[in-house]
Amino acid sequence: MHVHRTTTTVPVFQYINNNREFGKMDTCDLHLLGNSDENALKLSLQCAARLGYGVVAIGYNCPVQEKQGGDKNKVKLPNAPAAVKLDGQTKAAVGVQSKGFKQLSRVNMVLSEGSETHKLRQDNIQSYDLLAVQPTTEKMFHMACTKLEIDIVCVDMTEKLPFYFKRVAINAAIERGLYFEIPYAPAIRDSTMRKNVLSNAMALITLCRGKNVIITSQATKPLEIRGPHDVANLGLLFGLSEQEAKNAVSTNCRAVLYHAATRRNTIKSVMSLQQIGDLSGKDRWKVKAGQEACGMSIQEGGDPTEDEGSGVVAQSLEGSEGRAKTSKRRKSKSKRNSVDEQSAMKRTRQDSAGVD
Amino acid sequence: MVRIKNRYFLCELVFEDAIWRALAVNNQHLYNAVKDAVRQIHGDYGAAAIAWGLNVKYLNPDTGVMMIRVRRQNQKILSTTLPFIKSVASFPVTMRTLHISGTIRSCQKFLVKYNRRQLVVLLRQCRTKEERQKVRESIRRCTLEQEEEEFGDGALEDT
Repeated sequence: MHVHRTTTTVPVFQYINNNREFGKMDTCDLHLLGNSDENALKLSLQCAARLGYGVVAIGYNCPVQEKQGGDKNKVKLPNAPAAVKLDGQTKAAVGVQSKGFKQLSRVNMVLSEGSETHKLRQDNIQSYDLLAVQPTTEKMFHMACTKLEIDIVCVDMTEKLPFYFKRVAINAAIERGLYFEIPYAPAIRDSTMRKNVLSNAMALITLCRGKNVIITSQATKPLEIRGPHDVANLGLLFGLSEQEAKNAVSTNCRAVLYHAATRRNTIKSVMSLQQIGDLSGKDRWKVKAGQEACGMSIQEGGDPTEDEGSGVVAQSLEGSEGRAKTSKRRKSKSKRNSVDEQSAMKRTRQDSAGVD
Repeated sequence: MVRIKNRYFLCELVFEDAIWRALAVNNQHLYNAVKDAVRQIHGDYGAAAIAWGLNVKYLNPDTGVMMIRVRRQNQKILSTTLPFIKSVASFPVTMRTLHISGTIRSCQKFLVKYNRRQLVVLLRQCRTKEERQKVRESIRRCTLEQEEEEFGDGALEDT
């Protein structure tokens, strides 16, 4: 650990840091359905931007594969698509409200058996920013809460659940920093769905005591998206207190983003790498500090890709804000892997050209 | 004498298509839409509770901004119902809460601020010099004193 401490701290999570400057109440909608047609998606995004959301994640459902045969014409989920361009009017509105607007991609995996979990580790799945699992059986729900490396557990709330939520699983999920998703667009759509969503949401919220819940839209049309304040009001209806309802659209969503960033961009959830070329001016001193500490010589002006391996700053996550959220997870990890770390660091230095 | 306390909800009607704004949506339509939605979500109890004192105080058909009054003890009923309103006078619509306050005056203050911000958005989209000049002029004229004379009509339509 001591090596990391000396070379510490540049925040890697660029998008989170950008948002930090704009104040704490940055609201997110972490699930717009992206499988609908492109035009509707664009309109929905623009609507969300104008309503004042800071971060919007577009969810793509992983296509269900049939078990027998069919290996050749397997439908594979493409890698994460690029952000959709917004029109001028929306950009102007976003600019005046003085908030950035960030689009993320997320993938939803519908899982029913433990044997399917290997799919989560595939590259195309990992290329998405957020990873959500929709368990359909009680066993899978328990596994998702206790074992899987994911960010969000989204149970299909529009139908009567085939199982009850168990406190053990939910407590484990809260401990690990996973979040449960409650969709509100189905509740707006029609009466039976509304009943189901409300009753399931109330059951969930009673069990997790209002913690670790995010409210998302799952909207397919722009008119189904509601403003952040209205969504917080909906939270009251689900049984959250006022503060918890506000957290469910802002703070908790940020925690999900941190969780995802820690899962994806870091080595063993302990540190992350960044090219010197990408560093901002005020972070330059860290390079020098790192040099002195390690006794290495790094030419600052040089092109980092040319002199192999040296142009990388290793960062421990100590300094970043995600610390509180990930500390538990990290502790257990670092205990297990403390021997590995030194070698891991060396390895990644060598691979640095590929890392950004 | 204890005075009856109210809450005023300042909401914006977001239509799918801006053209529909011009079509007549009047106070009565809004009143009925809110009442029906309350009956759907909160049942007869909610409808009865909110019926006393529910009133649409103000509607600007050009900007789609409106103000609803409820008694303070029933504000939660209204605030949880607003997201469920899907249509007004059979037009698909979304209600977006802008501001909640206890007096009409503070709603007005907020509305002036809000409209001025909308004008800045408009300013960014201006192409020609004349347009810019006009928008700048109307931003300059955005004050509460003027608003009080005609209540809210001054801001966006000037452009």
